[in-house]
Amino acid sequence: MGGALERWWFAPVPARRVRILSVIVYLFLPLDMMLFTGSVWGHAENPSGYRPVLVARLLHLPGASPVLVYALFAVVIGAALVAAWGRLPRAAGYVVATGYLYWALLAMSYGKVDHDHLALVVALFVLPTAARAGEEAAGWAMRCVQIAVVAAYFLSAYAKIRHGGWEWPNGATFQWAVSRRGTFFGEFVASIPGALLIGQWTVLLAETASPVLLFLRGRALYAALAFWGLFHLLTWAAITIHFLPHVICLAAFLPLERAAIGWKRARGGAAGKPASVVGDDAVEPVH
Amino acid sequence: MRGLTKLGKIWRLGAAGAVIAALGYGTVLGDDDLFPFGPMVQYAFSIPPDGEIKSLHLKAETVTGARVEIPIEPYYVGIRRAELEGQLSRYLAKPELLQSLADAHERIRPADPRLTKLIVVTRVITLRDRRPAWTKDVERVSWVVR
Repeated sequence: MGGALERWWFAPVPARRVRILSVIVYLFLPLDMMLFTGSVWGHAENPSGYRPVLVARLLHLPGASPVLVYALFAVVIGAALVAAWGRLPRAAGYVVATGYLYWALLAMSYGKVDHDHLALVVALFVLPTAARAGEEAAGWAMRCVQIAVVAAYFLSAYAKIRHGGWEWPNGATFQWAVSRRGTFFGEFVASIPGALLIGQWTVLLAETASPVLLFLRGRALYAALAFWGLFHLLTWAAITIHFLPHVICLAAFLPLERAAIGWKRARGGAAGKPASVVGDDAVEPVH
Repeated sequence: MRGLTKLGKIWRLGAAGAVIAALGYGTVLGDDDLFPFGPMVQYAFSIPPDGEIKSLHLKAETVTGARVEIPIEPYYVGIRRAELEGQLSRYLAKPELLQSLADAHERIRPADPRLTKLIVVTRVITLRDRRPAWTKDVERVSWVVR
């Protein structure tokens, strides 16, 4: 049993997968910090609104101010670009992780906490541990991101029942969402009798079943990922909530190393046959 | 293939276990204060099929005498609507806090007419069988801009 658990946590993954996910995540950060946690820029103008969350209080982190926000942004983005380029993947990676965590704490310390950043924060902290550390370390890092993605879904289902009660799926929560921030498409869906009710049941059941993502393979896994991709697309179209920081982490489930990105193409068999990449030295990360 | 040492595996399992335990604690017993380990409470509340949907809106009078609705967004007043909702009790107790919204508005949108009075209203949509039936606005707090 101990052996099986160890094999599951440390299943070897090509270093190239970690490398590609790193590039995706690090290049996503500027977008996130400008738009999705962009409220921090406004917080710098609203010092009286600072209501630090527990971690920020314990560390005595100062609230947002124009100087701090610009400096933090510059440090995180600078380090992210260095790490994305493949230089100093550990040092730069840890700077990004801690700096971005501070940024996220600032974003969530003004009265509203969002829940779409768990997988991204986990990814930022585990990616540096996998840099040049071998395939078992890469496997652990990818597993952690996968677990964070699944946790965000599964724990959402738990929270809905904990806070909303068992009547949640039969209530009008989705109508609440559409009424407050619905798009034209959202209003259209809401006008279809029963559509939001079916949606609530679908979401609750899918979130509850989400841990199967960790054990599916091949087409079943891709189908499940496609389902979640479609879910996030529809949610965005209906109420402009995109969960992108979480969505990009779904990539941790994909064999990214097979993607023909950059000048080092993954080598493999004929078209239609999966490339054998485990242990293939030709696809070491670009250092 | 390069593997991990025993120590390398132990600290990784320990770190993962600690984070999972913190998330588990936050989910079962915690609240938003525990970010990033708090419960995933987005849309984790029930609205009865014949219940009410409430949302805050910001109305304002301008120097031109017009009465307008100002989106409660960072690029209008420096804060998000959900943040104002999360801190509403503070604003009810200290209406002067609204001054900072007017200041932010003037700084962020200097071309817009200056605001002379801010009125925070709760828009109440009453549901019948999960569909909106009627809507009314209830004034919560107002502030004459200095």
